[in-house]
Amino acid sequence: MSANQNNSSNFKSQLKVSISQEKEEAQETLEIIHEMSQILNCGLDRQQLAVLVSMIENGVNPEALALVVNEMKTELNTYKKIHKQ
Amino acid sequence: MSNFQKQREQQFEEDLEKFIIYFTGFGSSQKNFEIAHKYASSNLKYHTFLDPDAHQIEAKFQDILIKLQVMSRPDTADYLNTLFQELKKRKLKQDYNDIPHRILGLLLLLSSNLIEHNLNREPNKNILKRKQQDNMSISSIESLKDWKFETSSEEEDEEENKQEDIQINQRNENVREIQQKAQQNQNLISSKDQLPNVLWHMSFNTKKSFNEFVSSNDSFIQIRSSQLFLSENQNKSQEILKKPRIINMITNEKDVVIAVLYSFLGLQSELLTFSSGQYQLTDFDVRHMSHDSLLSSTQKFLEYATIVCHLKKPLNMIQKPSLLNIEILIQEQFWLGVRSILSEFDQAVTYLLEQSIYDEKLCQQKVDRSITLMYLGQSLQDWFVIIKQINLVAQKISTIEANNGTFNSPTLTILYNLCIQNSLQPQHNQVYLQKLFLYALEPYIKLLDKYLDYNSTITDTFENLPIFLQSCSVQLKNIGQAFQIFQKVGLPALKQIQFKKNLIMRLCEVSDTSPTKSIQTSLQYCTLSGGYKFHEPFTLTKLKKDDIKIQENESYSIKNIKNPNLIKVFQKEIVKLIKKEDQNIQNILLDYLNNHLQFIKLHKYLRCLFFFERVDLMQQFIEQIAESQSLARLRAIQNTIQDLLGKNFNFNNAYELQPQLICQQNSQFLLSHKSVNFKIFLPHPIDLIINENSLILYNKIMQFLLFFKNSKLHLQQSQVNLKKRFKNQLSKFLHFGNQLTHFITNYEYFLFISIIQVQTDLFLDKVNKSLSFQEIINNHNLYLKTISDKMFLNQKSESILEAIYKVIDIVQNYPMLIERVTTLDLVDQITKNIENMRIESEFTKMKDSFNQQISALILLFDHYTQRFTHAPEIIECILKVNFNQFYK
Repeated sequence: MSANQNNSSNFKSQLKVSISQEKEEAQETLEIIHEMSQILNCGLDRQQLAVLVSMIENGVNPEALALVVNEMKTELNTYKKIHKQ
Repeated sequence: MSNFQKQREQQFEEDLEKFIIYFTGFGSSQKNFEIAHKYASSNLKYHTFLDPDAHQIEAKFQDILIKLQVMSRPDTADYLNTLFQELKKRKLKQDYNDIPHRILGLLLLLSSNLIEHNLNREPNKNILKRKQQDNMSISSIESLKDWKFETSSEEEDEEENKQEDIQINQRNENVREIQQKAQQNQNLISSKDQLPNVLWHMSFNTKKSFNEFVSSNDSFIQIRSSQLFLSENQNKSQEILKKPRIINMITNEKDVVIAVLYSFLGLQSELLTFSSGQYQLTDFDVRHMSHDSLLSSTQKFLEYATIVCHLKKPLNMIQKPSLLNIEILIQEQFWLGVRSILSEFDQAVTYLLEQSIYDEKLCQQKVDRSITLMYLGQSLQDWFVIIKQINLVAQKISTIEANNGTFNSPTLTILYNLCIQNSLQPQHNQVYLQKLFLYALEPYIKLLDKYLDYNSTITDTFENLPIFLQSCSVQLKNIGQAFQIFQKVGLPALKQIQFKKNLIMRLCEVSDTSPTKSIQTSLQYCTLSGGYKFHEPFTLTKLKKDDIKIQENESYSIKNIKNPNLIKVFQKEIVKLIKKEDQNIQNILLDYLNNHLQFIKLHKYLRCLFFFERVDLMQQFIEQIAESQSLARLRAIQNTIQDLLGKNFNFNNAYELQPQLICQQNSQFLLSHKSVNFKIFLPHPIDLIINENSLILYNKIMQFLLFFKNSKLHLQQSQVNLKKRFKNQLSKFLHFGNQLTHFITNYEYFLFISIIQVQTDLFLDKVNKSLSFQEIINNHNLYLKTISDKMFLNQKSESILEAIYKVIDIVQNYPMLIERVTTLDLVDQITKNIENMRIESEFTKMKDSFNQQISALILLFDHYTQRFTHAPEIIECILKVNFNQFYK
């Protein structure tokens, strides 16, 4: 029993380590993507980028996504203008 | 739906909610959230984009990197590249192979400063069609085409109103478009009112349709042809009818005529000025046209005139009150135009004559009249053709109205009639017509004068013309009117010539025993016709009234005029005439005077020659008188000559008075080289090449060379004398003399060979190759300038010239020293010793100064060659002079 408990605890710890490593790697990847977006002047923050990257990883077409993003931005601007008036 | 798909769907929905929250800020409970959700969902799921192409994205990315490098941001490009490479290495979801490229593609599309780029190929239309079968997707897409975020109710009302306004505007626009189209359609149908516009434009563009228009009689056909024209030029139909300014200015038929005229003549700019209302037909500017273009344009004008005659019929279609006067208007305009052309003809022909005068000067002695005739003949022949055309047009105009002779220009009527008459011989016909044509217009008085002068001698002027006139009298009488014209215009021209001759004769006080009988006959002829006018303010008609009683049978002699004031007036008039640079009168005068020297007062003849600056003739005359040894004659002219040429003039100098050289010095030729100046009277056109400025340069160069040569000559003589008398003695003088000779000979080589010979050869070579007179002049100026620069005779090289002069002064002084040395034997011993000492000291000084001067000169030359590398002659000179490096 103790060996199994040891094994399970080891596994859990390994799992935790791997999860943390994955998180770190994901964060680093997001950082890289954020840097690239900053250089290319996309006007996106980390949260927005994370969502977009997630959507692309899930198979969303980047062109369609870009179109939606641009449309959302323009409509939001007009909506804000109307509200201000 | 499989689990995988479900998971996917779930993940998508979650991401989508986050997406909307992060990008819009709307809460999930808000209506706008739902709208955004719907829009995003449908566009992300049911889009028409193809999968991204990794290669294209990569290529685009590389382009971006290059762009960054071009924008001088290579670090950024490198950093971006490394980031992307790092991204590729990262562990991302492996559902798709090219996730990094997809992310990059998204970033590139969202980038704000990049060029638009389709990462994928354009969607296939067939695929689109297949997708259209899915109505739900399409309807969902279409329904959300005009999606917008919902606002509050008030805002909704405003928006509705705005939408209504937009719709109303759109409807109005549609209505306007329809109306415009209707208008266009209306405009395209040409009416009678539009005919002038169309006509104008047709003349601009297509001659075909214009000719059709013109040839047809039926108005309907004309309208049709214009319609056809418009339809052919549909694209430009709007432009045609909307032509600004010009068409707006065309308000009547006359303007149409003028507008078409200008268009035919290709005078577009004039047309525009006409359209501004500031122009008339007579003012069309042909001054800037060359002779050929003037001719061609007048021919075109005449072609047009025939068309104008045809145009009269279509113009009848335009019902306006001034219709009846159109013909007169056309004719008036036409003849005014002809007159303006012919006034320009005067300028053109006089210009040609001036050219012919120029040619005459080039031929110097022989007057090459053939050139003049060629010019005259050519121009006249061309214009003779035009006259014929004018007559044809005149005929046509007359036939239309069946009114013969209702022209504004009677002369042309005569010409027209003359052309018809075949009774005259062809040669006489042409000459006579030419003369009549010339006589008919005032400027041709001058032309006649020159024509006669060129075409005849003095005797011919007075013999042949009356004979010619007498022979033509029969023909003149037959025509009648022409004779009257000739009397009015032609005779005064003849009388002017005679008047001038008479004035000359008065000046020279020709006696009654003049051998030229023809003059008398012509005088008789003139007197018969009465007094004559002179274009200057002074008129002999006044004289006729006051002083002279002319009898028909007596010859008219100016000698009878005793009033001294009138004589002075005559003299003034002749001076005026002469000073108008009328070379012909000069030549005539001089010829006449030369032939009648026995009858002329000598001093007056000399004054005339001096006035005309004919020094050669003056010289001849003086030589003749000197040879004749007639004291009386000598006394007669001596005072005059002294007045003209200066009081120091003696008859001993008569033979020295060469026109090629006039010395400023009284007796001695060369006091100093700088006082020598050459003054040359050169015949034309060489005086254009060797003008005053070049003479100044020549004098400068010659003065320097003369000085140099003189020095060299003296030096050589002194060396020869020294060698002869003192063979082996005085070696130091000889040695120094040799040094001087060495310098002089090498510098002489530098001057005469390296500079002058070379430059002269170059100049002659250029002259042989030159194609124009101006080129020769330029080359000559350059030639002189180069020589003077290389010889340091220009202002910049004054220091060098001074140094050279100092050296040459030493060369000049050396012979004098040698002379003193050679004359030492003639003096006593004491003076000899003293003199020896002086000579020694002077010699050492001279030698030292020479060494110094030469060294300084060589230094200057060195400096000069360093500044101006294109001076190989100087380098050569330095090498030769200082070959042993003695002077440093």
